[in-house]
Amino acid sequence: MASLLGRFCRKLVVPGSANGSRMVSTTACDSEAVKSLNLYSAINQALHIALETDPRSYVFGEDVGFGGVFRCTTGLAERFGKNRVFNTPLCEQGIVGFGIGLAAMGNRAVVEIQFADYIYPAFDQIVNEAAKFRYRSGNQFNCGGLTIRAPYGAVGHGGHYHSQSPEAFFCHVPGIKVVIPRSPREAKGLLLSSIRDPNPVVFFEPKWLYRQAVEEVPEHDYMIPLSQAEIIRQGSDITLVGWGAQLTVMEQACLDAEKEGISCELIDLKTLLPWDKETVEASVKKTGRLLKLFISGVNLSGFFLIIGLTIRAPYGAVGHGGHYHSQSPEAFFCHVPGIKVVIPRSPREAKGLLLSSIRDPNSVVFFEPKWLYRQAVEEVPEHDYMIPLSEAEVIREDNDITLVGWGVQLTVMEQACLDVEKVSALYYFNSKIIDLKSQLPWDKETVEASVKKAGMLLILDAIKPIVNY
Amino acid sequence: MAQHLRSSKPTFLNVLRHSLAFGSPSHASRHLRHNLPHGPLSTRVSPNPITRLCNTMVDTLSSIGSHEDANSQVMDFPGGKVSFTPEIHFISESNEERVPCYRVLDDNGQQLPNSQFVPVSKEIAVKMYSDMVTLQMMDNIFYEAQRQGRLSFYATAYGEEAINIASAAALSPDDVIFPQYREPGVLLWRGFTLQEFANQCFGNKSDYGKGRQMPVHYGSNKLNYFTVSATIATQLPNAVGAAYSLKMDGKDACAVTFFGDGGSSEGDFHAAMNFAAVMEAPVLFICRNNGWAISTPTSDQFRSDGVVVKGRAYGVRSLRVDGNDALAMYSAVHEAREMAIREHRPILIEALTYRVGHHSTSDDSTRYRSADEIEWWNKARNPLSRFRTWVESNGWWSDEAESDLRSRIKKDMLEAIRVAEKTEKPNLNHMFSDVYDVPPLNLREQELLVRQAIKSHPQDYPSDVPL
Repeated sequence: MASLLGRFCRKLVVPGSANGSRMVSTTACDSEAVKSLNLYSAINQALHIALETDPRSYVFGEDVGFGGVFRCTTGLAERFGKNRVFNTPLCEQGIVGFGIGLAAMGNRAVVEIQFADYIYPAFDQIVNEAAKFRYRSGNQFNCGGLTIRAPYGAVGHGGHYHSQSPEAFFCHVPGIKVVIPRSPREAKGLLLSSIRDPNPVVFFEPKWLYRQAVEEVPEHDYMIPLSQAEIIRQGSDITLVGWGAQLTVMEQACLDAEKEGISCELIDLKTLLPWDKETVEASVKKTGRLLKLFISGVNLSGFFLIIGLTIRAPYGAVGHGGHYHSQSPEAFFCHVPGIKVVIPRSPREAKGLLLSSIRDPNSVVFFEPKWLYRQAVEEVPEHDYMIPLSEAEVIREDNDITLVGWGVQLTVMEQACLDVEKVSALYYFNSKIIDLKSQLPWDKETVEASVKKAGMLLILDAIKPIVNY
Repeated sequence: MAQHLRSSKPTFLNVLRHSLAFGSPSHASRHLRHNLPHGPLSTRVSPNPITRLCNTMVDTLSSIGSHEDANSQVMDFPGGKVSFTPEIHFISESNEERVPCYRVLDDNGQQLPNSQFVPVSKEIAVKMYSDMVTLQMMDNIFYEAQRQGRLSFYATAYGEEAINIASAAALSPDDVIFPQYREPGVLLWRGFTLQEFANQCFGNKSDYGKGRQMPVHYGSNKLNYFTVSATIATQLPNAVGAAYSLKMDGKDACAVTFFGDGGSSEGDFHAAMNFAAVMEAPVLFICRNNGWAISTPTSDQFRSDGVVVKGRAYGVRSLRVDGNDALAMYSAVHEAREMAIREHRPILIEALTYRVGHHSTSDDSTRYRSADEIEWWNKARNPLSRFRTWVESNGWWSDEAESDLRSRIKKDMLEAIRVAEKTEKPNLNHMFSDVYDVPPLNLREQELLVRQAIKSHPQDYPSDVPL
């Protein structure tokens, strides 16, 4: 990674501005003034404009008063006063919680988390308060004025705690938006849109580009729409989708590929949640191939100490649990290398898998489908037995389609298979069901073998509330 | 001189020159600023350590007041002056005596001699008492409805009626409330009707929350009561932000947030208290210390003298009050509110009480505490009977008024439930609306898929959800 960065550091070309055709951006008219700015300066400009145009807007976070550790808030406190631009105590849950309260009263709260690596103490506030504020109140209340900014991503020397790309965690949270700009001009327009969007937004800024990326940025107040992806390079052989700093790398990859005769279409997603499915779909229809690049994951193996911890938690919908007693958070944990995620489907499975989990030398998060705590009864051997982790089980053999699931939804899926059999009298549509058991690390081989045979795959990753009435 | 120097050498070597650059001119640093020495300490730098020591000592001595002796000289550190001591003395983990509890009425509802309290008019007193009775009866009837299978869930506020009603009575309608989940009395005081409570509990289409949450997760923007969320103490930092907004907008109002003894263990409590103090936010933190967090007694919750002592740790003024004494609660909240708004400061109120009921309908508290204990609190320290005695002693209440009230409430409650039960559920589209201000493409698509699925498998979907 460091050598890759080294290759790019010297002459960073802003994605979308060099070779290849580029969609015309609607941000700058020919007559408007532009200035050559780096990323942090563009963000700074956006913040100045935001505070100028709405007297009930606030910017705060750790060290924001003197200009911020990345200089994004330079000049704001001097210009707008310490009542509107201020330092907070060192407490991310407080920063975001306070911001939600301000936003709930109709203000715009633009909150800074110093590094995305430190956003986790605020995760509860973001998921359980900000994201659900409007929905749970029946739209009587909302905290749409909240925007959370954080520098993210590898920078070469940041190590574990100044390099993380945690955007994936937030993409599983309906109710918030997740936005990541690729360049200074994009950042200013997207940040202004995020601040003014009537929904809470998490805005990750690629710190690698804070100084490295320089671009002509219009000086006026402009916004770039959210949830609209941009094709920054037209192509015909394969669609590449990315966001933020990785687009720089991807663009270079496109140039390299072109030399080998591969024409790549490059899409900047910009908003990860809710994402612009239509643009991506149209592109894939054209090219027939899709490649999506995450910046995280591979570099972070060996992240966790081996402490053999097992965390058990009841999960899942149960019918009357509402927002706070029904969540299925296993997806979050599947993005954390170094831990295992296990979900049993029945009493006999639970005993064997839990014993394996406890005795496994890695940290394990063990989700227990609470719906089945009393509902599911089974013959369970009384002796000490273990069921191996990371070994999926084919619980129903068949040929036409492979269904993969875990936990309590297998009950539903099994019923669905029977229904399908009954209904399709004209042709047999027989479904194989695989119980994944361990979501992380998962048994890719079993699933692959099955899909090779069947040719079709359906993964059911959560029970939608309606099924449980 | 040399001997004296040797014995106090480490202390003097610790004297630092302190540059006077403070960040924000908060009232704290302003307060401390005037305690600083008038000028920087000696700038003479000598290569000889003994000479340097002598110089420093001379400088320090000359800047100290004459009444101070060698044992209480002062040092500068960021944050202000502290006196120092050569004795190693740990601050005790607790005071010898617990913080006393403010009350106005004794256990029998007689006004204590020399009691200070904010006078309450007949109208207010009668409304307070009536609402306490209403709250208790509403709880009774909803609890029974859950036992009969007509409601999926309920949580009562038995034993905490005085906290609920008296605090609400002492506030203004413009004060914004961030509840935990055991404060429906505040809504009741402000005018939420029994029908509105029932609608939320039954999740019908008249529920302002559009049937999305479990029962007792009330909310009303009209009454400035933010919707309940089940997560513990997450509302506390939100209240601080809201209070800051009220201050910035110059409103004559404060934010009020409730939480239990269990909630005071959450990180959000500490975050909120600290923020409130630093931001000088007009927010009341009202802790209902009712002795239990589900089955966890306070002895398993914290080792401090309750919650009131935690205020000082954050620089927050605090008060302990008898939560079962309606007059004391009223006065406490009334005074706290004035202070919070006038002085732009947070106030912590620890209301001592007892959770007479189970944690919720999913709990049977006799499994972890004795039925005798529950019964004692219900009878001997009952907030309703204590307050009733006082109200009656003023000639403002009678047995007849009591029975009239109770029969009216019972009738109204049963009618509210009857109507709520047969009111339609919210439309299916409300499952997908309000996630964002406008439903994005993926949710619109999901709704279409669901509707298709319902068309082809109607028997698998509830028949009482209108499409």
